[in-house]
Amino acid sequence: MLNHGWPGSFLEFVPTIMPLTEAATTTTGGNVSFHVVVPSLPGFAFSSAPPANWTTIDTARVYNTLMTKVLGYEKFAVFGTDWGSAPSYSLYESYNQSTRVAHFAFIPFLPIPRAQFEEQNITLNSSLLEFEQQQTEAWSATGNAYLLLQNTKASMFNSL
Amino acid sequence: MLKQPIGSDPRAGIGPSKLDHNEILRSVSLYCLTQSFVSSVFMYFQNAVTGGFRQNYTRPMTDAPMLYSAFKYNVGFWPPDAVAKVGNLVEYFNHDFGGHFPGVDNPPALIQDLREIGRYWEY
Repeated sequence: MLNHGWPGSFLEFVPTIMPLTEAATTTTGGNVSFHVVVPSLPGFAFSSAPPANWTTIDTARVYNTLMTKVLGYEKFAVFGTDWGSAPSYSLYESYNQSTRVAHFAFIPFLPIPRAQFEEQNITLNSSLLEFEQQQTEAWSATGNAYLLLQNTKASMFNSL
Repeated sequence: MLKQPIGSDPRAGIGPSKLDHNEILRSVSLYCLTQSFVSSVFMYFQNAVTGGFRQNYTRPMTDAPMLYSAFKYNVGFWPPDAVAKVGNLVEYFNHDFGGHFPGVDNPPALIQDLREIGRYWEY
């Protein structure tokens, strides 16, 4: 199950779907291919809007039912990015009988500020990791005004 | 070349990246034609209280393997030591090409990382 985020959609995964269904090998030579399920988060594209008081924990519950009861997969692996990481992580955390591998490109945790790295035993031991840390710090400083709007003034978009 | 969208590799549309003008218009059109922009942002405030994005890094009970793929220009970044606090981290892949939408920004890398799930899958 591949879970998109905002401002994305199932379209994010279109280039990956066919290759994932085809016979391939892992880096250690094992055979691998997938059935691929790409749901739209509630409120996205053709998915109905989330009801009042709906959270990503509810989305995870529905996704687990979709995979196990509706589609009949006793066990599955989940991938999540951006907001899709929230229900994916809930599946990993709370449905461990069915969610047997989780894979993320984003996790639903607020990044740990650099000032706390030492006490939290976090090191950046490559120039790529350092670059990425600087990117996310730049986003926090000058790139996230939309986040405040959407957290607190979402209905404003109705009048635009 | 495109003006760099936030969180995207400046090499958008080049090499492995499928993130060209057509791809962006396709995404914008999907939001527009399904009239789903407003409903797509409900998630932000609906989860603001319950903590869609949490502050406390805790290790869940599950023993299931967890993999992580970082892409150079992603807006969100968690170092390996941080990711390892919230799961049974068995792989941390890091790519110097791609950004926030790896499925279009660097599909070959995401595809190969996803295939590595096969190494940890128990039948």
